[in-house]
Amino acid sequence: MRKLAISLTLLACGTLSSEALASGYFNGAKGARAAGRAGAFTARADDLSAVSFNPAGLSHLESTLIQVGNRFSYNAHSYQRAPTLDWGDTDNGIPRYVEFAEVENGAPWQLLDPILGVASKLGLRDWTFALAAFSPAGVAREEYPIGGGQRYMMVEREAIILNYSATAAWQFRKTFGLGASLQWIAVPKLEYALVIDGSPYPKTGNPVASELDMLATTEGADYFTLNAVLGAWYRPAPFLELGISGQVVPTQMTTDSTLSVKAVNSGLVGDVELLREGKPADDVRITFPMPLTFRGGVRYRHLEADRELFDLELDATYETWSHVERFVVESDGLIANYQEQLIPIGRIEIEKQWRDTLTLAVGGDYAVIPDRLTVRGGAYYETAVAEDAYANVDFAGGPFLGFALGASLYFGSFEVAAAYEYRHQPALSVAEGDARVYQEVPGSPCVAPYTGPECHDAYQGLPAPAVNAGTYRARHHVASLDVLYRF
Amino acid sequence: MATVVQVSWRTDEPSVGYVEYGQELGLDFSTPLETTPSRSHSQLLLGLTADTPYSFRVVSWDGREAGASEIQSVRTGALPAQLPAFEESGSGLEGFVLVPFQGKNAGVVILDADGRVVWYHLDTSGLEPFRARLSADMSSVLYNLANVEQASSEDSAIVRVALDGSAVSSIPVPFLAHDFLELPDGKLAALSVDWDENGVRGDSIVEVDVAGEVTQVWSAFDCFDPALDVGDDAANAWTYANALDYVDSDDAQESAYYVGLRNFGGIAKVLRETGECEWVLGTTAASLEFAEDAGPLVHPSGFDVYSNRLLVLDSGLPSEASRVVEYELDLDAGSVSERESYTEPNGAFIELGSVTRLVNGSWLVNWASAGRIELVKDGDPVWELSAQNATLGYHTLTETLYLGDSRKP
Repeated sequence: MRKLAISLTLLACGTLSSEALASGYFNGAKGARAAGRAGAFTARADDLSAVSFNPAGLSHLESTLIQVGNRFSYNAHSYQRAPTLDWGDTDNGIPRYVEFAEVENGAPWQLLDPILGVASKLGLRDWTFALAAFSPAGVAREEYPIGGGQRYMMVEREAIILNYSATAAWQFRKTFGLGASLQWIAVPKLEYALVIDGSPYPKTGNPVASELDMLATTEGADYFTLNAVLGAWYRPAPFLELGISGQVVPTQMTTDSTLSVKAVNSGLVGDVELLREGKPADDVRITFPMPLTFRGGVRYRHLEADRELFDLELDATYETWSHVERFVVESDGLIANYQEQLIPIGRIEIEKQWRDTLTLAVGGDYAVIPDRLTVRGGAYYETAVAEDAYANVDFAGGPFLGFALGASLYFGSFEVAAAYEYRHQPALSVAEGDARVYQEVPGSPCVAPYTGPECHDAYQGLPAPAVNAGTYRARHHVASLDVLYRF
Repeated sequence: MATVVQVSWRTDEPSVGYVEYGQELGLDFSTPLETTPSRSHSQLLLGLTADTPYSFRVVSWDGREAGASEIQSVRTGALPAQLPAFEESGSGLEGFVLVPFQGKNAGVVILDADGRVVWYHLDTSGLEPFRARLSADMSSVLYNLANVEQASSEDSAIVRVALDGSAVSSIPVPFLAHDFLELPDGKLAALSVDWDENGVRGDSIVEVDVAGEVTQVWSAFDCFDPALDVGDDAANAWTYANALDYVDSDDAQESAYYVGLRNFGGIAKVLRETGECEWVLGTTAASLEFAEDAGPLVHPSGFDVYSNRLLVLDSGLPSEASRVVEYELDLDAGSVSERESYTEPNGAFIELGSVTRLVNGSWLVNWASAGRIELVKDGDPVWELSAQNATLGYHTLTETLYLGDSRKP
């Protein structure tokens, strides 16, 4: 009990969010054994990673399992905004051609991304129960310069997501098994900051910088969201195993947050006061839809004398990220008051228009020295979650290729599993004419269909300048280390 | 043209663009942004000085995205040796001065505020250029060729030279006098010598349409009678019109020419629509009276009309110093008062010259016969340009060489 309490404290201090090999908010696989085979783990699912991959897999366990691990990652994201014409700062009527320096994620190291849990049969032959806490695999924090070319998309975000799972699994004569995880998702911290143009004037069009640039930061939490993962496996023959699972409860996270707005331009004096119905207020709600997830895996087991010498698994994962059409900051009538200039905050919508993703992963284990050393490896491909037009620095949305290597060493009842995973998003370029993430200009009198005389001539038909054109690069180096104790 | 660079480029999609350019890597200037999308583009880099390296790049915008070429470099050529040398001193002038020159060689130059030639054209016709202007579409320079002496030339013409120097065309307008201008409707209006049946040499205003057809729209004989309005040198030239201005009005009946009548010591306002002389300021046939403390005009040369003011370079008498004087017209009272004046600093008589009032109130005084231009601010010269061994014609001051917005020039 004491160990568990300490571990939970660590989790609460750490960062992160996670899922098992997924795109969108998440990336990579949680758990060193699953990660070492590139997430091809739905059918195998024989450690605590199963609470997400396939709860039914826990029924494979022959004994009680305690698993403690961490994931270390280096998340190298960069973005170079495409050159644009600065219609907001013309020189005698001529917009300057502006080029932007490449910006990089200033917080690439992520050192705390834990998983811990315990699974036990509790003396029952066909049942296994597990409790696990983990942060879904993902990039918890990203930070970019406030003066960088990405600033109208995002300056900073931090998402700490904790997942507490309770799982029950049952098997029938080692032929098939069923399992379910009930997940409590807590988001103790969700921060998102971007620069908005506070200009209230007609014909506002400041694609590069505005005198009234404001840093808008939301920070909040959502401590209770329920979800569930159901899974099953089937072994039609000793050498063949099938697994399916799904996160099947439609849900979304809605954080109760606060909004702060402050001037970016140091030449501006005075604070921005937020009001609702004339009284100070700063509360907003942010909604992040969650996807449904469906996994399927087929695993070949190469047996020698009833021992599994190696296996090879092919998994497919389908995630309904198309639920994520936009991030919405609902201000419920907040008004920013700056120097007696009243700017309605309204409803800030960060367009996503994500689409469903399919991930194909192949991986396997090989027992080099049975009961002493196992090596594993795998590779995967994830389709893009975001159309190029909606690319954003907040979450890498392009297709990813990845490979992984891993190994386990066994010391009696202990297994030490380590894995290295490399994820790579091929460079993704978006032309300004195709870009669909627009600058937030809450005070602009230019309204849909954005063709009136109050709209800037250069951006007729657009709500504001598109600000996500450019080239995106992302690569992740991920190391996982787990200790498993079976007794 | 050694000081004009033509940049041409193509784009995959219809787009508009401009060219940034400057010395070193500054790219401080630009051509205007094109207004019509196309795939084929061409722009002139203007305002360049001779024998100077420049950098430039093309910027394009197809309404969806911006693009730019690599930065390229080019070196302008040398000026022809036939051009007069110019010396500049002082500061305060902005823009470009377009001015004809005469002397050993004749032609037209555009000078920047540092007195450097940024455009030139040599004329070998044998006639003299007296006025140069940028065409309204800023694509060419117009200048007149005339003989303003007693033997006025039937071969006189208004010449159009493309800014890139690629085309020169001539519109014959017989017996041109000193001045011409381009009207808002695209026609040209020019002073032309006119004789009556008695051989009295008067003047007229002719308009030249785009086809080159010349029509007389006003004659001095319409408003004045040589027998009654004698002037001060009728033996040589009766009215001797030597300067022309035009003020357009939304009400066509108000649009009017202003004609400088040297030998009347005056200026007449001539309504374009009727040819009626609405008023005459001067010493002959005058309808306006000079106030007691106002020095009357003697021999006006170039002038500038604005609001109820008239700024005029008065050559005066050969024995006196020429001066620039600003008059205020009180048309209701029929009187003219003198507001300010500036006397030729060397006390010289200047036979021909012109003056322009700048928006900041300064005067650009062109002592043309002396080959010298001054910027006069609050009564003091702050900038000066001198042509060596050449006299000048009437100048035109232009803020920019481009039609439409650009990063100057």
